[in-house]
Amino acid sequence: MLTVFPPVSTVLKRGGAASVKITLRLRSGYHVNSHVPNDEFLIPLRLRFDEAGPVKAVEVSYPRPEQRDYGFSEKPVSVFTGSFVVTTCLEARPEAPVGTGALSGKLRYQACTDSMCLPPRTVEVRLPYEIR
Amino acid sequence: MSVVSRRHLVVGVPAAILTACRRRVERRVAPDFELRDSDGRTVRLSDYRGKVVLLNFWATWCGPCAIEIPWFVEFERRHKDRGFAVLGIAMDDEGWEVVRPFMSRFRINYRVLMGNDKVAHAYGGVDSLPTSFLIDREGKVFRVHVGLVSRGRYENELQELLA
Repeated sequence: MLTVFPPVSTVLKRGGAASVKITLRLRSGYHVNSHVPNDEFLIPLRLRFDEAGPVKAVEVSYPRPEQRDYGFSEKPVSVFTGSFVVTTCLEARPEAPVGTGALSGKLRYQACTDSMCLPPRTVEVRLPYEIR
Repeated sequence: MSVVSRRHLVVGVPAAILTACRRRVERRVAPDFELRDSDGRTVRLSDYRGKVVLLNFWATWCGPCAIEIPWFVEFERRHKDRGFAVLGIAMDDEGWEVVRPFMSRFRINYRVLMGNDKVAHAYGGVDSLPTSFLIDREGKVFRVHVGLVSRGRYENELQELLA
């Protein structure tokens, strides 16, 4: 339903930071609620990363959502469709050991068509990095 | 002597009625279940034997479900005295904490039960919502709808079952 395409690897200096783009691609005909849905009952898109470890993710930025009209809603629905990019900034702690690793996170989403919905899902996201 | 078609062998019953009867016989029995409603009472599908039941799997996060629910509220109001009942099975992992406010917002006047994997599995998996089953008075599945369908379709089918 939704495929995650993280970057191959991000090179970081100890104490340094780098921006990372994560591409998400939805199957045609489906949408996911954005990170800021227009209704309290809708499940937002949410990407969160582990906070322990030598590398942390500082702020996750989502693109501007589309406001789409669907037959099942009286008001526009705040959604993402097709391919879209979520951005975060990786920061290596000053004491981070040199070498490779991966920052783990979880992406939660809930997808629908214009007539039916699939249950919410949480998938693992791994961002490989190399600290030099 | 004229050849009597096989279709008319049963006491001269026309083919259309035979087909309808056969369809009735072929209907599968709706699986019984035991779930709790919003008052904590145990509810079984078998409690509703003799009534037409619209069994609706839904969730608060399901936009298309929110379109149907007001229709079902109206159906419950209009047909309950004719031996009809809507049973909503909520599939929210967060449970009553999210379902109760939704019930208030939509003024749901029918029984809502908290679903689980067991009942979903019994009904074929319920991979997407809404999924609704129209069950006849004998407890057999008359029709299944996966996804949002028109209000008119439900009305026509209810008319057929309640007749």
